[in-house]
Amino acid sequence: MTRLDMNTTSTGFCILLQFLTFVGGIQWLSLAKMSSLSTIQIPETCDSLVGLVKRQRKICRKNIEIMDSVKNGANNAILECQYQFRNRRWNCSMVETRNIFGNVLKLGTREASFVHALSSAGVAHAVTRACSSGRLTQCGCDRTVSGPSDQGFEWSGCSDNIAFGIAFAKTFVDAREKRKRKNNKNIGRQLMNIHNNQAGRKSIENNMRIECKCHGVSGSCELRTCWRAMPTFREVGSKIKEKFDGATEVKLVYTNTLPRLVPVNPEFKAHTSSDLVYLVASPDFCEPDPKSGSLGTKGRICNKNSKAIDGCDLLCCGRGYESRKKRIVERCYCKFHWCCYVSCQECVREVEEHYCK
Amino acid sequence: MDFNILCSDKTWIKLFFLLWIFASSVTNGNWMYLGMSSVAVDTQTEKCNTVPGLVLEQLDLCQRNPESLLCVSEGARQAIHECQNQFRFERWNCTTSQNYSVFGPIMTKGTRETAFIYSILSAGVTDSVTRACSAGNLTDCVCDPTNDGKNSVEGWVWGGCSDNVQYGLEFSRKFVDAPEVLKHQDTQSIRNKMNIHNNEVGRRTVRDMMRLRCRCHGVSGSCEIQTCWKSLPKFSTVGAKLKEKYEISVRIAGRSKRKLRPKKTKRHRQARIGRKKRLSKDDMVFVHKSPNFCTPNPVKGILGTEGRLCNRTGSGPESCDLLCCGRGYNTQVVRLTDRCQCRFIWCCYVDCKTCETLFDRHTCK
Repeated sequence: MTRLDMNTTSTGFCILLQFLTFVGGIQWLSLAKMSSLSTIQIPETCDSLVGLVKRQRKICRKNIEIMDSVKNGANNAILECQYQFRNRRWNCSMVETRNIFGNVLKLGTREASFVHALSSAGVAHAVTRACSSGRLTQCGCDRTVSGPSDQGFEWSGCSDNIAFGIAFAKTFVDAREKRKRKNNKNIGRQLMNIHNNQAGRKSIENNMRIECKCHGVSGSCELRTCWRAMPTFREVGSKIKEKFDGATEVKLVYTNTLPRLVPVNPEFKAHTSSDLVYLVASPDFCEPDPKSGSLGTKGRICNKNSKAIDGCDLLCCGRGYESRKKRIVERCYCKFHWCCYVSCQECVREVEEHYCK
Repeated sequence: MDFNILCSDKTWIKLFFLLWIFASSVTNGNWMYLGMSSVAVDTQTEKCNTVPGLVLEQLDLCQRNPESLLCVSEGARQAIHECQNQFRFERWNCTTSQNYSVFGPIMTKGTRETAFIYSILSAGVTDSVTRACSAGNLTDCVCDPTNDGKNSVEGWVWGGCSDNVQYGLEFSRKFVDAPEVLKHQDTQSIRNKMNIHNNEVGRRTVRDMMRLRCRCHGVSGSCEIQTCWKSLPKFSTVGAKLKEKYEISVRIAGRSKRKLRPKKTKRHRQARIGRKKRLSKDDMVFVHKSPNFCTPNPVKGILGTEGRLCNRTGSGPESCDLLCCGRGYNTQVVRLTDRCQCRFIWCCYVDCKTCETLFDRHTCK
């Protein structure tokens, strides 16, 4: 449905379509699908970008130099999602629609909460990285961190300006959810997305570390300078995956007409601002189902010896698996000959791969 | 209930019995039901036939030696307890149901879990009967007399009461195997052969883990004379050993009726090594693959793992990752009040404060 091109359909239908999917996918993530060579340099491109809402286009026009980092952030987020979920039934697979994950994010599931957190963190991470590397005129290293520290070293060098990255990600990513609605039908989902976006950004902030360098005669460490550095995006992804495992199921309640998300089961621990929350339980993702966006697990490679979710038993949902032998040709017994080339032999290795039926 | 209370002093035995109202459901009965803690056993001979699910040979044993039934009950009880201890972190945690089938519908399939149940119950009976012999609670048997008074090569003397494991083994063979032997005569089913084999694995494990224990005599323990005797292992070590065997248990071909053979996998057939592989008497065997025990299935007797306690960190079977089957976990804050900072105040009382500690408790979604 979402594959229909805006230009070829009647405007009325388009508005309806937009309305139906407005909180569903994270459409701006489709920035990641732009060619890696094309860059966003002139403000006019903002209007032709797919998947941005009005407010995001405005931010785009004002901050055109940051938009490449946003694109990189989206890209990193998708790759990281696919890495963290490589063993799960839903493996963050992209489909060729505007909602790049299909309908998976339409419902407020745990998977949706993960993708929201990760994509928001992706933008914050990429923008901060760009600040530190001096590619942006608006920001640079974090100058608030300087002078001698309590632990006896000197704050110096380029501390990552995480505050800027987070602030930008907040304005840009949350813009989708801040749009005013005539009816409050999806208020729960908006709150959920805003919360998870923030949780994702927090997972960078909470895991900042200190990196140091020694100075003095042959590295004697007479003088040590340190700076605050972001965790790698792989670490951020792992932290958010941990939050995904312990995510809290919430529901929408009104206290004094103010909407709030509270845990469905009051006995469970209330979520903090760095925890993920979700509104509906996930489908099992076993069989293909366009409605829930599940692609099913048929044909997926599974691990025969694992008892966890990547094991053939759970991944294939009890349908069984078939094993195929695969021949891998590798270069081996490489020798260096003077001067200067390397000669290798070819070795053939047979590996068995198991595929879900 | 302590073993000694049950098996040593008969006056302690409360002679009450659950008279089975639903005598008609006896067909599903199973001697393992004697191990359920809610069951109390009477030792009066005429009551033997009111225990549900005993086959003729078991009744015969009961009537000839009424006290033995008490030990079977105790053996089954400790076996069930140990099974639950060994599997407390697994997806299947040795759940018992309150009906005569004891372990529920999972017993209908010949899985690894069934194999473990049979071997540990058989081991449990062997253990408790042997202990009862040594304690003098069974009229039929005494301490192992084979080595009495003999000198060992190392210079010590056989003495004291060696546990008569031979009697325990024989009793368990007769009692525990009886229903399976009977059914096997009827149906020639591989399942009964599997059960008999696993019963024997349990008994052999007890026998092979017998240890020598010694005591020194002479002036202030100078060990001039040393007497030694054979003693049963602690039952928890038997449980742990059987758990190890469960992990490496061998799948057998479901078709062959006469002899148990390891099931040949595709790779075996291709490499032609399957024929050489023989089944050891110490291998636990199973016929059917186990289900994953993740989602509840009342028909199959599977409870699922929702609500089970799990460990957020770590990678063992109790980790949330494995136990919750990828569904994630919920977190609860548990408040623990305890007495702390205790001080002794002269004279004579102890003054404590109450401390509260909060910790997170994770359960599977």
